[in-house]
Amino acid sequence: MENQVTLEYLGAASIASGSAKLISGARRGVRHLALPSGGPVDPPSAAFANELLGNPPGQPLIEVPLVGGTWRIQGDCRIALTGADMHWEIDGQPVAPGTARDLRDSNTLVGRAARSAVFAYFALNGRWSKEILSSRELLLGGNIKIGKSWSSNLLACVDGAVKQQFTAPGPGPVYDMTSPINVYPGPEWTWLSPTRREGLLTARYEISTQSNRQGLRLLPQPNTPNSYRDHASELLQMISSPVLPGTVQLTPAGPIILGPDAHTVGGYPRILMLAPGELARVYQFGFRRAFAFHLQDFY
Amino acid sequence: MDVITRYGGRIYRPGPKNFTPPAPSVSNYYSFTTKPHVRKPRRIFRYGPLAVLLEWETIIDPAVNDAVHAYREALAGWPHVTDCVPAYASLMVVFDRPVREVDMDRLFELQMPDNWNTENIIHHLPVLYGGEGGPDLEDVAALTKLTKDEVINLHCGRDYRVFQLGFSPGFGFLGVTDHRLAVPRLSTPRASVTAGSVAIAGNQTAIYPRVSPGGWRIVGRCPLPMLNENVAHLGNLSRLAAGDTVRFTRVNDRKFTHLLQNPAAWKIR
Repeated sequence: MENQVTLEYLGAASIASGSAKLISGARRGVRHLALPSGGPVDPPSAAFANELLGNPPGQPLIEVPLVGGTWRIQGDCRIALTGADMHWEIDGQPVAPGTARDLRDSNTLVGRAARSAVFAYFALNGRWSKEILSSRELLLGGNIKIGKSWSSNLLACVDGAVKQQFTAPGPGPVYDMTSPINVYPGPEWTWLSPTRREGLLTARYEISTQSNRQGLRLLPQPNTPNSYRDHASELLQMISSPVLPGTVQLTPAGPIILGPDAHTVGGYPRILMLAPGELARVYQFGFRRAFAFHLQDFY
Repeated sequence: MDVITRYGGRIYRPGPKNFTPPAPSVSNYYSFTTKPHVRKPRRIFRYGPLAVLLEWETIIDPAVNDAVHAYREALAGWPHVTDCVPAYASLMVVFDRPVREVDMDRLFELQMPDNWNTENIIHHLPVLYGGEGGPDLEDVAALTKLTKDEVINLHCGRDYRVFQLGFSPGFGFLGVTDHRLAVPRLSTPRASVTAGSVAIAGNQTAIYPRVSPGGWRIVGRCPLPMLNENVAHLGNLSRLAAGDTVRFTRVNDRKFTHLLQNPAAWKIR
């Protein structure tokens, strides 16, 4: 049985809220067209939301950074919430991350400021409208920016009678927020002198607020040793060459970790590459959590 | 013979000691003659656990770029390879599982045919130079000390290789332009450049496939769409692909309007 569901974003009270997005799964085999891979910044949490509902992997879902905001969901369907804990409430009833709930008629979902991480996800069990799935934004960018009063329809599949409560199956991915970020040497790592390399590895970084899905700008903490600095003089020019999400580029302004929406080629030295899974973890760190890199060998 | 070294934590075969990458140069465009055989990459790196980067001499050179595309064709069909991303002088090969020693061995031992050849798609792209669609044509003429007609004739006067796609979907970096057309980018990039704008910067030229910010100097406008966003398969999204050839042709207002209203389709790859 399928029925029409309408999802509407009513906005967020906090000006600190980021921009929510409807995100499709990461795309393979498109980077040669200069299309970014896209996909959620925290794929395990996003995948878990879809898994809770029995949705196919990569089904578009909502990615919400920093502040949950207020959403209206009209129609019978099922919702799953994962990722950052945003004190979610459905019609005033608290809902923990890693939970799926059945919804009937009209419901209001409210999330406040994230407390455990940065990015939350929620998925609905249904097929998004053709207009959404074939939209230029989703095709080229892999996501649709959601502004106030944004709304979209989808067809929800509800098998049997809608239940009031769905058993919470678990918390979903939980990240270690204290250990260093594991990295591999990048192609230009050996361009740097041993002193600079050591400086980059001993430095502790915070994520700049000038960060987004294209990349995370890193700021060294104030007590960072001098060996970290003055790397600009060592930066050799290079002609642009392919990059991947998770690449750490060294720019004159400091290191940048490329995100899922980053360009496919770049002209700054690629000094490090994050180990698999680490990009999701570092995106969930937030702005005030200091971290360092831990260099791994390939062998 | 090129020396191949393996990077990515360890060097497997001894390469040149204290290797320092040469500063990129575009002035030596003709310094390498095209060889009948495909150049081997100078270095092959592991790029994280899931990808490998093949790198040739770091110069903008058609012979080097030929090798990039020869390797791309050879590797695109390998099992577990999900993407091959060509650039000027490098190729990234992305796998759907961790790169294994056997993959590295196969890359090192890959033998390319002596006389490699591939289908070369030539795009004839009409351009209405100057006017509203080419607001920087006069500036380019002034900077290069040429007349506007000389700028246009030089721009139309040669074939361009699509060295790589980048910057935005379907944006091809075409080169190299006649050295007399070399101009710097705008000191302040435009916040919005019209789709189809034909621009030059340095020794390269490009067509902006869609509205975007841009710092290249716009000399004209092409009426043909560079992106097809209604395709079922993303592989046919872009008119241009890396490795293609572009020829610009000057058209007048009438022809431009006609082509704008009746754009030619492009070849399905």
